[in-house]
Amino acid sequence: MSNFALELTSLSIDFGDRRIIRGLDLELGTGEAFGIVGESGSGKSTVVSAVVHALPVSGRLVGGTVRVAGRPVAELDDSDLRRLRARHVAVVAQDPAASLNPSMIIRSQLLEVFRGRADVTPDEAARRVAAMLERLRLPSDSEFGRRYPHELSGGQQQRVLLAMALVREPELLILDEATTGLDALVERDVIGLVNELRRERGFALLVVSHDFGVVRALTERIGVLRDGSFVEVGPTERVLVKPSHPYTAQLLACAPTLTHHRRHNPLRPIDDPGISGGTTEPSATPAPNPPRTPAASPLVTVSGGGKAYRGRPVLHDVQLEIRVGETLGLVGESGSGKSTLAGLIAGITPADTGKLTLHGTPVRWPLRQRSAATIRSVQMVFQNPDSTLNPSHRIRRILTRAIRQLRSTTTPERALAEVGLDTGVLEDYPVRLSGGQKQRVAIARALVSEPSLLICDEAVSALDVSVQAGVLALLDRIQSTRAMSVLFISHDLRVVNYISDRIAVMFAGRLVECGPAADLIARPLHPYTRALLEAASVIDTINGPPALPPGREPWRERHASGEGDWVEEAPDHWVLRYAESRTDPDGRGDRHRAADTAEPDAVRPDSSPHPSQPPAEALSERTRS
Amino acid sequence: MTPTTITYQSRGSARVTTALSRARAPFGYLATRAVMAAGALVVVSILVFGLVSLLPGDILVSRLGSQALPEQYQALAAQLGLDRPLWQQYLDWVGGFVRGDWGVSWMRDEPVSGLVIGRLVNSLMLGTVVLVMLIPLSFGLGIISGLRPGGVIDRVVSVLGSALLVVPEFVTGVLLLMLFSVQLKWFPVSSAPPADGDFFATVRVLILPAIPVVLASFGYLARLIRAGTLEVADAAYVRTATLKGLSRSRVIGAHIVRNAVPSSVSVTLLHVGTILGGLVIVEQLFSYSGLGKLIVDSTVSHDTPVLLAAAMVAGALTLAAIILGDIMLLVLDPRARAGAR
Repeated sequence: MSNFALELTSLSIDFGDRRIIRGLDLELGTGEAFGIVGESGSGKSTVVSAVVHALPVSGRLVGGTVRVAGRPVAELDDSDLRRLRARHVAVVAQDPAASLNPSMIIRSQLLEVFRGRADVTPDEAARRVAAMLERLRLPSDSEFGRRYPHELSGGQQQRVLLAMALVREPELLILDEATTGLDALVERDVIGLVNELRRERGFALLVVSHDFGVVRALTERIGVLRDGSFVEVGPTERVLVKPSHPYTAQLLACAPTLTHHRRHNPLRPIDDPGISGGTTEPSATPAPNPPRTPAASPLVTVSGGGKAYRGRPVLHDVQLEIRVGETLGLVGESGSGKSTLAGLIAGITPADTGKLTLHGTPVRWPLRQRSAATIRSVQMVFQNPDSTLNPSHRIRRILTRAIRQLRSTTTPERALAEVGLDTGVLEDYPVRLSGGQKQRVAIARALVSEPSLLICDEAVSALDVSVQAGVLALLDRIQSTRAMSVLFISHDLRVVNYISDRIAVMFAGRLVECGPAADLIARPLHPYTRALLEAASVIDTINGPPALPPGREPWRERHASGEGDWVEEAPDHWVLRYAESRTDPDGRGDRHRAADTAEPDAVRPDSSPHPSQPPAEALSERTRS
Repeated sequence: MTPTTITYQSRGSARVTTALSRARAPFGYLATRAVMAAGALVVVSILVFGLVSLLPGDILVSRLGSQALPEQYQALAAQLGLDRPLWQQYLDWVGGFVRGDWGVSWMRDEPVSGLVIGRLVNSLMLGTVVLVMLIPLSFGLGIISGLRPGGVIDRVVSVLGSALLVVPEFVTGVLLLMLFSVQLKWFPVSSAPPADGDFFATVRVLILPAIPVVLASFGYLARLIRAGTLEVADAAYVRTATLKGLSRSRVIGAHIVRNAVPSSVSVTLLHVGTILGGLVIVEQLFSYSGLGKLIVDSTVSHDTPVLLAAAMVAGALTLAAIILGDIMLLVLDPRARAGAR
């Protein structure tokens, strides 16, 4: 038996005629943590499939070996392979909702892990499952066990999958984009739990992700994958702070942290249309700050906006103002009502209550009752360009339809030039375009009527960081050349902070805080904003956040009960205040205090080999240089 | 598997009971469906009544011959209520139908209800034989095809299913009759159920007429279930199950089939109307006295009360099957239960 939990030796994999993995070498010792970072198409999920010997039918192992806990996986027969999967290696995949069997109760899915294992009695299996659920701070009672996956929250689902993986006591745990798509607080919680458990149980960890922050928080070594081979392998901190390969440096320069902002510390998108999806914006000269007068004239105001679905309120008394020429970022977890609010303003979902004004004149909620001019002035870009561009229309037709419908005078050629796309794509169908190109077409379509408000609903969330940086630069450039306001919606605080002049934070259907971006990041007033910031900065800077129990936070109950006043605590900085918090001048919630007083040794895994953490400032130095 | 293999899955009736009790009564949902079905039945009654009154030919002529006196025609028309306006005839009929007074056959002088119910029972027996053959066959082969797309079974089922789909019941029926009843004499030519009601003798008589209906629907259902299986086999949770180290049979049984079947079951029940249509044809062909044959016979003989009642019962049966499909989905699919709340 070797000492390696995972050993890849000149691994090569073909899909059809295409080589996807090119001679990959990797040694992962017992208890070590390794991260594979790469963009889509780099081959990172193929590596995971190869490790558990579950390549799609079109994939072929053409060279090299994979050894898990010393066993050559490609040479195992069926029963040995099952044994390997049942005991030695476990995978937690992306999208927990889709990864659990929808018609089997949680308990059965967990206990199923021990099927066919003669060494574990049913009682022992039940005991281990209960212990693991408890360890992951899930209820271990029978009521919880009898639930179906759809009766759990996203975070609970992912922890159930984690329990399913760890209850096997594997030598190797693989997280395959396991936190992608989770809300920031949940993501931070899962990362904390994995770090704690690795410290306790000493399993080896392979993290595959597109997100540098996640890999940084979980691993000691990192490999940057591009076109099926590592361009750089080394200690995580060294690679992230002093990348030695230009591709790593380029990728890092595309990933926003809280220290980046388009106006004073812009990202540097990769100057290659093949990567960023279009012409790179000249971002060397930062755009000047907009006039920061609090009295800047409002373009759109929403007052008392409310909406309920089937009697369940999803938006409650929202007061929002979007000013002329500004970018207002809207951040919040899934289900907080961000997209509903966007739909309200765009006229897609009529509100039940409240008033909307545009340029000071009242506007009706439903799209059908709006004037053509109003429709022309409010346009929207959605998250998934695959489903918003008609797959059976050529790009030219998609754009000409929009031009005709919105009675615009532009041409498809000019519309494409505006978003940095070559007119060569006009005769293509959307399927031929890359994700970044498709999103640029979607933006071009929204811009044909020269709207005064562009709503971007998670418009960059589905894109790779390099593509995302390009699209963010595009939005910045468009805004500086037109007098256009942008409502930028995202679950990712780092991106929202990067693009926004002001930020609004939503929680459970209500606006909880709204203020100038820099002020809000530096001085968050609402406990939920503080928690979000803490989660984001933990992922940005610290190796292994302390996982806090989702403690009882009194503000949540008061929030749910609909209490609270909208108070201007600082110039132009508004917050939802609950009765008790006003007596707390410092405004610090329980959660925050718990984070401050966490034991110092709980911050980092014991197994962490590298000596010290560079402070956050070091990171921003790097990205500025 | 080792003797200590553990099965944790609670099974059978216990599971269904917990499932329903946990569903916090989707009865409101089911009540809505029932009201909708009742509305559909009203539409069916208007359509049936309208179409029947449009039928060519004349009951008075077929009862009295073409040489009777005008007074005789008028007297019979008055006796049957045909001299009143159509809407009044309709309301009278609907009112009677709802109260259980289905009238008397114009041709046989026996109450319509007894006649129709007796024939309904016969058709249900034949229909049961059809389903007992059709469901295992199409589900089994559809699932196997979906698990190995492009495999031998998949290709055979696909070609055969499409071929059978375009051959109507009366063609396969005639061919089967010629081969098995006329040539080989394995089955009787006429499929009247035996009077003593012996179970095996009855089933034996019903097999041959059932086959054409099975063949006509097999291709459609098998393809449907194949598509459902393919979709589920690609799901992330099937990968999760495989990577747990479960045996292939467990992955297929508890994860793929378990999730592919519910929607297929409810679509199969939607298909019951088509199966009833097939029964009309084979009952005629095999001289089997079921509801379908009754509909055809009463149409030919202008026996309006029988035709109306038989058509309504057939319509109600189809609607009942659709509601049963909804209930099955609620029982089998926890997410559907959540959505129905």
